[in-house]
Amino acid sequence: MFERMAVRGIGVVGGFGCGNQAFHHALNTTPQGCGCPNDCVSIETSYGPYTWPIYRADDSPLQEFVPKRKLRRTNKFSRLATLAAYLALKDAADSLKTDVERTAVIIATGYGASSTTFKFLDNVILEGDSLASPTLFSNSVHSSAASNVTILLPTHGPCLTVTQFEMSGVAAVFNAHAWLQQRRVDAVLLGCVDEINDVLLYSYQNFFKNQPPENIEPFSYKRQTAIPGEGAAFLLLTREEDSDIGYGCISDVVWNKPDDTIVDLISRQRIISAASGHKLCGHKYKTLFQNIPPQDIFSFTPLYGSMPSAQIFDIAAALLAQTKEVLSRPFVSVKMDRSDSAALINLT
Amino acid sequence: MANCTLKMNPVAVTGTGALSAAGGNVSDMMQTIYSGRRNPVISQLVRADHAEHYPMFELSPDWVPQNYYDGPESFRCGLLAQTAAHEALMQAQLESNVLESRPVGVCIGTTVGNAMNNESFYREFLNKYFPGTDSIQAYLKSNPADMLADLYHTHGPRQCIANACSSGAVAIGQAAEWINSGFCDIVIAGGADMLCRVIYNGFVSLKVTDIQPCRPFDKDRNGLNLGEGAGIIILESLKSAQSRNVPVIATLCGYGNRCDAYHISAPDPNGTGLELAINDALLQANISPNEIGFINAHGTATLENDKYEGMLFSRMFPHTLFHSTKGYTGHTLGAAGAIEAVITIMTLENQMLASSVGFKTPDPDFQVNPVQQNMPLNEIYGLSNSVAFGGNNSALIFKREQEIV
Amino acid sequence: MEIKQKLKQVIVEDLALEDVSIDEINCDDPIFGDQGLGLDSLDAVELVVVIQKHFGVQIKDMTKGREVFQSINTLTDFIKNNMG
Repeated sequence: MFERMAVRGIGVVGGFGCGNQAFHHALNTTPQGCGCPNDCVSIETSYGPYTWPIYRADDSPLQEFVPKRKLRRTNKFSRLATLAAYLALKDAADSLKTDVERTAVIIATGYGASSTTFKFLDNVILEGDSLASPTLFSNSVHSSAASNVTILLPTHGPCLTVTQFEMSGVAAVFNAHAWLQQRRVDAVLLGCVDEINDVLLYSYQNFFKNQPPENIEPFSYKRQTAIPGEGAAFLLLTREEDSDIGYGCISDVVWNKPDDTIVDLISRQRIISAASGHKLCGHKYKTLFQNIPPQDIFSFTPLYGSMPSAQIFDIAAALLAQTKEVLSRPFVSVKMDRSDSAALINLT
Repeated sequence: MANCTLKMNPVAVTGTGALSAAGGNVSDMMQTIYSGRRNPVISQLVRADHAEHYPMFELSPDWVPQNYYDGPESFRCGLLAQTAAHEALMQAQLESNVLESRPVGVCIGTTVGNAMNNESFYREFLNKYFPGTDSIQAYLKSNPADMLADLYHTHGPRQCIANACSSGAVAIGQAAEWINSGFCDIVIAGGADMLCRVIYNGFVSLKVTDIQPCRPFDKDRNGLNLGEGAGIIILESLKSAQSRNVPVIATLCGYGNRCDAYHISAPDPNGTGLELAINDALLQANISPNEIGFINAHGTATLENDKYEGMLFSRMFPHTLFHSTKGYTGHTLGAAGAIEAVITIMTLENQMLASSVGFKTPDPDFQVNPVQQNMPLNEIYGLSNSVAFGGNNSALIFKREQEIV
Repeated sequence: MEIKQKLKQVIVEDLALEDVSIDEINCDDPIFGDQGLGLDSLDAVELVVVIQKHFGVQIKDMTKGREVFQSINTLTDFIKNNMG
């Protein structure tokens, strides 16, 4: 039986800024929010340059928690994750004394530390094999964010990095549940982190070949409007029995093909849709939501951008929006991928 | 420091599969290991411009699956995982009707298999030759857990674990957690990894690679040799194995996962994280250290790892037989913990601990030495350790379930 | 630029020691360990690459590395004696 997990703290950093207050500020009075990209990058292609809007995240507020000297060899991927993790702990601090030794770190990421891999390859290609940087190599593993979080907190608890593209978030939640239910730990810092780099933008331009969109339109299912985002969102989870509820509880997780059972599970619920403007998934969302009244479907992706691991962002965003009385629990976060999976995370 | 408080429900192992430089399947691999033979090579495929050439445990072309060299490089880790999974599923007598009819999980550890490190694509991109995006498309389809789920039409949870060198072991441990949480009854779990220039250049730059075949725990050891391959085990709830009436080869009865919180590339000299992980696994298995019959060490042959692991064994397991099998397979990164889990399970089945090839001279820094010849056993519990960059440590305890005759 | 000065500069820049002023580096102080610049084992292998990149001098293994990395002065001498 699924043992409910209480969300006790939230920490977020992304294109909207850093921290829960910045997120509230970005949230419009309308439930859908109307955040927008905050930066742009010029990408060269074989048919000319294109300027792509992006949601760029700034990790410099991390220096409030960690001396700059200790961060000198970390990559942005790790710093974004560490910042959001610290913010989640700080957010929970008033109501919860977390024993970091009984705290696990689980990170979901779609692209991992790809940016650092590319920097490592820059040295190898431009300067030669013998000038490969061991520091960049050490940080180019996807686990570098989780490792740096455990080093900087510090915690000796378990840690895990999951990469499963759009299903990274739900997979991470499965693992968090197992660890809390099995009493391996008393708290889990569960987060997502993804980073933008030039290869990603080049891929966007070459895959989608249109003029870059101006805004993400999560409900325009037939159009390609996805805009890449980077950032991190962390939740501090505990067993429900151990604490007051906090923001709410993850009460169930379902991961399956979008069949009749799934359709049934989401009917009569408020939906937090992970649709972020990708046309390939668009029709899948449209089909799944066809019997849901439009006023019951929300999407916060225009506030932080399109990221494979962002289902954790969706949960954080929805819970923060709830405190502004933009919507209320219960709701279910729904994320789909190209290979016909639907991940449902119920919050009550 | 509070330990994990819950005893683990043992999870059944009903199938094993593996391929590495030591052999294209479990039986051949164990035969090589028991023979004491090894064959690291200077690779013709993975070449780099350094003052020295470093030998690696490369897969023989005879053992790699079809389309391994012809298809996109991104698919190779997934193909290795599929090959090992096939062997394991045959042993577990799991056919498609069962795999498709109930939630079967897939949990695979890898490092290269997750990474977008296709060097030829990036070279063209960096030099502004505007490469096509076939490599990117291939990368997006090459997640090894997805490749297994697609091949076998499974519809349970699936994930790739990216815990660097402990990924394979952690994937197996997490699979057991899924079963004990009730998410699924059966999981295809393990790890796969391949050699490539990024990995080669990276480890050479860290100055942890030996120009000789590696010498785990030897006083004159001088670094690791890289390797590639895959290890897969089929984990099932005991109830599922019993209802399917399949032999239970062993059970996984303890899993520890802990962090050093020390350094991004160097292990904690006090072995803190590994000791905590081993203690968690012992607690879960409800046994004391002296009930461990043998240990498959992480034993990479780097100066630091073997020193700290040797010192830890001197402290915690002063009378327990141990070996490192990386002398036969090389360090297979994300596959290592899984290949070594298979070796541990087979060691329990065969009741024979293979010699720790490469070891000759004791290191005075620690008081224990690995076995120098094959040792017959009369033991029930085996421990397998895996240690990763960035300080993640994993410990798996397997228990023999058949009677020892 | 004089070798010693350039060495201090590339150490600060390439090892990202932003809070260290080049003028404050004492050339007899240990580079590694808790004293002096306080660098560690990962910095040591990175420094091998830095030395090769900026001075064309190779350090073959870390036994040699530990010997020449005692201080800025010992490292400068090593570079001077081995530059082509």
